[in-house]
Amino acid sequence: MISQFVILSPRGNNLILRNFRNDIKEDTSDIIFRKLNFEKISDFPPVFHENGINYAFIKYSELIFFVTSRFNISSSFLFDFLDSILTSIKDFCGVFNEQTVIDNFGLIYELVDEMIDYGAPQLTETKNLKKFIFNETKLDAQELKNLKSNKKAKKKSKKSISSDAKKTPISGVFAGGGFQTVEEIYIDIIEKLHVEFSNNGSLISSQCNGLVMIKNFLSGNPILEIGLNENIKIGSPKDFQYFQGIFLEDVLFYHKCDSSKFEESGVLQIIPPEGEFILMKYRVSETSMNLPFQIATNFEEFGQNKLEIRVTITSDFEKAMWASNVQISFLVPEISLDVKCELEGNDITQTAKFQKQDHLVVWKLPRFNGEREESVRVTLTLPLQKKNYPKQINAFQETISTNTQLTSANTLQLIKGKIGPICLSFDFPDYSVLKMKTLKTTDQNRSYVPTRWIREFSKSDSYFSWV
Amino acid sequence: MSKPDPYDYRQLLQSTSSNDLTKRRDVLQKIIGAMTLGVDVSSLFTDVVSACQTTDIVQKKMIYLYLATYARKKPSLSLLAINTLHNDCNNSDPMIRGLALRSLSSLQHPKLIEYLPTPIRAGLVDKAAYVRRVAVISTIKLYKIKETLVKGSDIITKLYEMLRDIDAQVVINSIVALNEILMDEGGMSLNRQIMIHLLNRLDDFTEWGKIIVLQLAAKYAPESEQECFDIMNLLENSLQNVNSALSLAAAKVFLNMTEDLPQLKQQIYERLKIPLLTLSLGSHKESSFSVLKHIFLIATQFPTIWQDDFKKFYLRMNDPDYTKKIKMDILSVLTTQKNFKEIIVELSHYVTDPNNSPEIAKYGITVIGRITIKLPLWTDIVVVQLFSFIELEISYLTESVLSILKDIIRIHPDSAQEFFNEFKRIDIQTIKDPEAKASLIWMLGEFGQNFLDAPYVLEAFVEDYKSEQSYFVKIQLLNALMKLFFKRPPECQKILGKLLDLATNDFSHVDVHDKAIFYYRLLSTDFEKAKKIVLSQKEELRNFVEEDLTELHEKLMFEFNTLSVIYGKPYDQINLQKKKIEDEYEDDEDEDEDEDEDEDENEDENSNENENENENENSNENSNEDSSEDDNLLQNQNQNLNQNQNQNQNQNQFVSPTKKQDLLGDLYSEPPKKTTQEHILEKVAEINPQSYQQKWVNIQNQKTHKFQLQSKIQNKSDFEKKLISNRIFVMASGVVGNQLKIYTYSQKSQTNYFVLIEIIVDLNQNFLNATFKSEDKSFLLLFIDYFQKNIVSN
Repeated sequence: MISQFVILSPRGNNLILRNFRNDIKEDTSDIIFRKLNFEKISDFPPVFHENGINYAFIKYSELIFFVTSRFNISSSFLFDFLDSILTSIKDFCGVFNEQTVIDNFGLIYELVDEMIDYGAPQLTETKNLKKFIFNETKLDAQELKNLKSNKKAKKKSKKSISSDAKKTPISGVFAGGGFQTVEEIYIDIIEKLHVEFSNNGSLISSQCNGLVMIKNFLSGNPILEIGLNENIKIGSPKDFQYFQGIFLEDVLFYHKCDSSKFEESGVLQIIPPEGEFILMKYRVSETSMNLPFQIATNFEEFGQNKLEIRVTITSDFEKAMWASNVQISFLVPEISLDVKCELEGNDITQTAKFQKQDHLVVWKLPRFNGEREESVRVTLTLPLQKKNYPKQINAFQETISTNTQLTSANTLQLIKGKIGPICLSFDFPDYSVLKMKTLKTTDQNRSYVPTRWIREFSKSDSYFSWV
Repeated sequence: MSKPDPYDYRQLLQSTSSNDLTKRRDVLQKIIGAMTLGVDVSSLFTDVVSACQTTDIVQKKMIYLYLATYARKKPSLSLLAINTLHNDCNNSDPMIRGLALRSLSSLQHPKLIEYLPTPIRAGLVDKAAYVRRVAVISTIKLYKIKETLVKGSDIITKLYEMLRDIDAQVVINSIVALNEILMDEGGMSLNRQIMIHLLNRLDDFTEWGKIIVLQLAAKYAPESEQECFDIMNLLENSLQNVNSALSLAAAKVFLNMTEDLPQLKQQIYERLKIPLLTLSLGSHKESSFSVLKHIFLIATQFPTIWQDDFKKFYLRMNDPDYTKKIKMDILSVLTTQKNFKEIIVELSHYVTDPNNSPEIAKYGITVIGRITIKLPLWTDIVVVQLFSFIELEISYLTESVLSILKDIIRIHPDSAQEFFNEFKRIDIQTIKDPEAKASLIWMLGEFGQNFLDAPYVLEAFVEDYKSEQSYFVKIQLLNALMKLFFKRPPECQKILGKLLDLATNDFSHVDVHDKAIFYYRLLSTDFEKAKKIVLSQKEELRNFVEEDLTELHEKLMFEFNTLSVIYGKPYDQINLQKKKIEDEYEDDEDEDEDEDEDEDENEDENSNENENENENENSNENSNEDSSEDDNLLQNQNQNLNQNQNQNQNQNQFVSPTKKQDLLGDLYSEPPKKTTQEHILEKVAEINPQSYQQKWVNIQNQKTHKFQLQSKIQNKSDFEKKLISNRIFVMASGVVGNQLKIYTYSQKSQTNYFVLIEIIVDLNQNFLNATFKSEDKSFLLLFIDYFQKNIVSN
């Protein structure tokens, strides 16, 4: 039972405030705003209790969305429900930021009122909501321009367009005089790679979490048949020793998706709801997962106070493919007097820089091809001697400071302890374990071919090596 | 939306013809916008109600929203609205019928008792599903207005019938309504027939509807084992769902169904293991967090199920701190002899990783400590690892290590020697945290007989006695030197003498003073007896109170998939104030009813006060007691060592439950306030009465807050002194009856901006009402926060 739904601006103003049960008198916006801005806790927990009221919030594009409740209900429900409200607003408004909320708040109130009645969740699917929404989406001039340029961009390169770029409101694309519906469907297969290497380059853990996200702008009630890889097994590789295909540790589906043929032929059937939704989530087993990059780090001491760190990244995939926006970064000790970065190849697109204020070394490669090896050399100049203790109050303290003269082996160990892990981030289009093989839309009432935008890509999600 | 003025809107509204749809919508939208921002536009009520006679549904919706917000404030005028809405309930358009009924039932007007039942009854049998859905929810609102109108009436029977409605959402709403109306009886009553009917229709419902049905199913007791399996088979799909709320709701059914079938428990957990893991790794950090909390809870019951997957809970660079903490908690539960070393190495990475916040690094050390206490096999390795953190010379790491070492040594006294071997590496001067200091001093007192330098280290602390802020460190110092004195008298005699001299003359804290006097008398009465008392053999420690959480976790399993799991406490412990607050609301509502059309808010307040006056005497007595307890709590904030000293026991009784579970919660209490650093207010501020008055009238940025004072204000001048010492200066003050009124001013540091407050303290009730006005708008919240911290809660 939800008491309130609120959208808060970054400055703490209510953009939307809907009281459903009138059982809360406190200025909840003020309370949540102060918790987030004045408390000393970094990353304030997204759900908390104060004075008999439970708060759950999520942040999206600088805005704070929150609900309050006086009941001890499921926290997952609160978050998932907040997410679904957010998704609906995105579906109806297209773009989503503070300005769109202000411009469309009549529409948002309409939506929220249909989605929640006296704190109880009602119909939240975009298709059902459409009948009850009468306000028109308002987009300002800039966004309309963006929309149009997106359309142009789409024509240029079919492959790279992301569904994020699809910021059209569900009511259609603004074309000249009015909104015009376009029969389109976007399917994204996104796989996030979490990989952790030890300091000697061996693998500590690896995970690949994937999801299939759909943005559906098809009218009517078409049946969607999605064919993914055929040779899939769900479960542990131990149970199927001679199987050569892909192992998924787990698959979860959208609640109205027919997955009965999935394990047999990789086919999913669904009458897709309108707008954005997640069709499935999955985890790829470690044995079926590929690691696109290896990270190696070497240390060498020069002279009395210089330490060289050499980071080498090796790509392990087909030569013709490439990852984009590759960035390698790590923290160096604050005591470093000087930090020099040197690239080993002569690729002019690469840059390696030391950002002094954050003590961060950042090495960027706009494009990383397959079967390559790239390295960077970072030289730290360290203070020559360890500082003595400022004041010695008695004989005992003296023994301490004489005993802690450090040997050089110790110094390297100590400095290494203060160097952060080597973090790698990248986008990798067309690189994924699951692939879309077939896509059929059938509508009993008519035959047509909708525009389909399919994208498969991997993304780093905490890909690093300890040093 | 700058500077909205209700008057402008009225003009706009009146000047726009009702035929010009776009313009009228625009005006209404502006009004709603102002309302959202918190501007009071209730003065437009009549105009808005008369605008209701439109056929445009967009306008109607906005007007309804306006009515729902302000009807409470204008009970007399809302009668007008009731008529219009009542008519709309008979409109030919089902959508308008539904909307009108929804708004009508939300008005909370006493007259509704007459007007509401008929349209609700009509709505329940309306042809359109939309109207039925609204009507069902409206029954809850009717119930809230007057219970007897619903309870025991035919509406309940009707709602039960509607569980078989063809529209899926009507069914769900009926469950919701019955559950709330019959809450005292434990919600909707359930039999096998209804349950099976609902479960068979599961596919018709939305995901939220499914969750509600599954909540019912969790309460249902199947008649046979076979039925139990049938239901679980039906729910297989829900468990394997991308929606984590649905999946957890299904998990709860599985857990409850097998409550009495222990032989199946293991199997069920195995079944939950994989989907929960997938959901915990999802991309929405908030819902992952919620699932992780549930994994932690299940893992405390059955640690074996995720033991092979422990690496899945390794931290990611981009995890928020709250996720990192719960993941480390999970790791600590999943640690076995087999993965012990791997996990300790991984946790050590988190401690030293400069990307992590100090909070996370310190938490890492706490978790390492927790694991070591649980699995004592490799204590020596862990101690070496902990010392490697000290070598990094980061003071908060050293402090955490010291605090945790104390606990390890208490359980494994053998490690003490290793500690003293490594001790030389610690630079004592960098240790500032009182807990770490106290911990170090305790170890020196307890095991100092084997450490040559012990008396001299303690001597250094005695030398610094006068600059020591924490009373707790002082008490530990007294204890430690007493103990060491009996073990090594010749070396300690002089130091102890000095300490006792200092402490008996220390009046900053009564416990320190008393303890010093106690020891002094003990020593002067009978030396041998004193030795016996101070060095009495302690029982061997096996478990910390903190570790003994089994009972708590079992309780929490009953509240699976609720907020309690997130808070880590049964809900009745969290929501202590709930009862009180609900009562307050009920009072309020009653008053509204009694007063009928009386709008005068002032009178409201007065009557409230009179009512409460009778109880004042009692509550005062209580509040005195409370405040002394509070003092103790405050004193205990810096104290985490549950020492076995008799004297401390008194205080420990008041240690809140959270403190007792310290190993699981935040290790660190709030550091002492820094008053010297950049004060937000000017030290001196001057303003004359005329300009004060002017400012008071002119400043628009204001906020009123009501605070409950921690302790009673004994006299006016003390309170004023407190204000002034916090740089809040008094312009005028006076006592009228039981009210203390003070007008104050302060100046924001390095600016010419003033902040004015009107403080009204209810001396009997200990309420402080303050109206803050700030010339600098952005400063207002910060200042209120400052006021609350320094004046109210101090």
